[in-house]
Amino acid sequence: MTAVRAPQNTLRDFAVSVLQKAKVAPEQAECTADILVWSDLIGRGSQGVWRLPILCKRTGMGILNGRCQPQWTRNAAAVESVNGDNGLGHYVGHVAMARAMELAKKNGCGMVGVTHSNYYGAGAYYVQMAAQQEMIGLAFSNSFPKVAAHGGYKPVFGTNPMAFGAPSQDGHSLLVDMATAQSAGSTVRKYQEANKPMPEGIAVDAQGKPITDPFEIEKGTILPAGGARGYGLALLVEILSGVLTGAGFSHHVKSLYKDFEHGGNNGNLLIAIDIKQFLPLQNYYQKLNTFLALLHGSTPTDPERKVLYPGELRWEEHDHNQQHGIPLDKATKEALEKLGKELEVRVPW
Amino acid sequence: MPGNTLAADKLSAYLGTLLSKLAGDTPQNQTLAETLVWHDLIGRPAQGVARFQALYHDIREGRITHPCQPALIKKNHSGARLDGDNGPGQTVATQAMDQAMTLAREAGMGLVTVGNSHDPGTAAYEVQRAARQNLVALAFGTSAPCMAAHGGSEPVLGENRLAFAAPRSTDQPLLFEMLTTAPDPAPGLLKGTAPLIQTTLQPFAGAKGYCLAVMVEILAGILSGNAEGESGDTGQCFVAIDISRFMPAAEFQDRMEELYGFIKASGDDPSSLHLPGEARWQLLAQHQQQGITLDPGTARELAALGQEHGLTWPAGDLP
Repeated sequence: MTAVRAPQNTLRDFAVSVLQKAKVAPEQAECTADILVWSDLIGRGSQGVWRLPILCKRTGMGILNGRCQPQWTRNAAAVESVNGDNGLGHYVGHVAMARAMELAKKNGCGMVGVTHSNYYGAGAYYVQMAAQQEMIGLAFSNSFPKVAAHGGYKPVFGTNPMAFGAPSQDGHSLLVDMATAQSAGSTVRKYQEANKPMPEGIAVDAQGKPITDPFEIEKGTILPAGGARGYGLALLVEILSGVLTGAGFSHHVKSLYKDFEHGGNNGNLLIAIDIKQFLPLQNYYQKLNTFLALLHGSTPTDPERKVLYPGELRWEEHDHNQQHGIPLDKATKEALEKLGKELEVRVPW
Repeated sequence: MPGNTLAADKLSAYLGTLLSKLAGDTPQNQTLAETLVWHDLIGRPAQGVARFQALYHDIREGRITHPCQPALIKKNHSGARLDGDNGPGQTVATQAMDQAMTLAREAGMGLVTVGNSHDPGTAAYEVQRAARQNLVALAFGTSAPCMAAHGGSEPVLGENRLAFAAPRSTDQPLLFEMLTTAPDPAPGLLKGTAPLIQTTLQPFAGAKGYCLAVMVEILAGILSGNAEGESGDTGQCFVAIDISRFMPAAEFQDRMEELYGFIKASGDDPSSLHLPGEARWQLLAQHQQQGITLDPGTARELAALGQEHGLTWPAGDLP
């Protein structure tokens, strides 16, 4: 339920101001605000400005470094590592993808491993950075454990999202951003809002029994998507973003919401692929357009809902929200009002 | 021992010789034979020698080029695109992964795409090969359309697979391979190189499987420059990452074992928690010791092919 619609620019200004009041350096505050607001724009509010109160709380307390100085290591011609200095994951993720893209320009592909970082929000943002420069982007991130292994019931993995972006000719990139867990928080919230029980198979309790009450999920463990396959994908993300990069993995990654003594220790792996160094762009777009036409030409199983390519709905929301303002629900509106009051920043409504 | 059970090396030598009758002496005979036999060893017969007869006929009748000479079309410091020369998917996969591994040693990572070849039905062999050399590897492959888009009705995507492998401190790498279709097509339907699937499959886990299939289509299909929708034409993409550019291989392996420790402790019974691939390695060890038992029909087909060239089936009398 939308409580208020905030214009993109003023919402961004608000985000920048509160972050700066919470000891975040101007450049890092602007970068983080851009990414949070973009997530709201594309209709992924769960990764949006809703996160400002916890981010400000952590930077204000100094558990999250608002003035990080990332340290770079040149591993190989196409591969670098960056120690995020316990900084805002959004800022670190942004500089890491920007660097992966530079490496890709020089080498065809570029890869940056991120260590000592924190929650970085929507992976879709980083891959669309690449897509807008006519590159393919991939982004992997681990997170605080709340997902079980296949056959287990205690948490081992984060929701471990993986993201993929590829340019399309009209600028509306293909965007994939998926949790490898059965269900991301946003899905659970839908059941909470509707006050309806969830189907079995989404989460289990401390004894391994199914949880169907969406309000009980916080106490439980989420299951991997589709059992063994989601487990394999969660491992893929954990290994690429955590084990390989040298970042924290599994229980070494700390909670954004529950741990106020340690940095998150999250890891990311960002990859950029410069398409034109593999085939002429014209050729790429020609093939892509044929493929998209094939997808769009599918007969929908539900006549009301035409078949879309991944990310297409996000851009519809993006364009709509850009015009009409970003919808914020009651809880987010009130949380931002409270935050604004604490930090003496006026909310933009 | 009945004649459909035989040692892996005998079987691959026999198949290699059979190929040499068609193609003359080339190292590709043995590569192709061993790749197929390996799938029987790990308990995936549908991607194994059950495919040999169809491959053999396709080669003999010129539909598949063997030996093939994949050509480098584009190369950069960390990537390359190959033309598969209409070769068997297994052979071009080996060459593409070799290229990706070489690039990874030089530049830290290598990404190689290859089009204009035939569907190998698997990518597991190549990623585990890279993992045994202390690389982390990913592979993506398209196939002929058999799966609908999420919310769609007609087949517009292949069974589009992805595979991943990472070394451990043992000689049994983590090995994960999945199709983006749900449920897996019955193995019988995948026999041979031509798709025999009549029904339209749906993506695994709805939107998730669809998203992954589209990702695979772009990385392996489009980035390989593969022609859209041409029959028998398949695209593959291989990624290798040199672990030693991040940390010593031994340290990586220790971290893998620590992660596995967390997994083992996440249920009541550690013996019911496994890493992907473990069951495959158990079967491999078992089949290496006891031999591979082929489906009797497959064994008879292969024996008959040999007879045409005066080759004796290397095991006992067939059942």
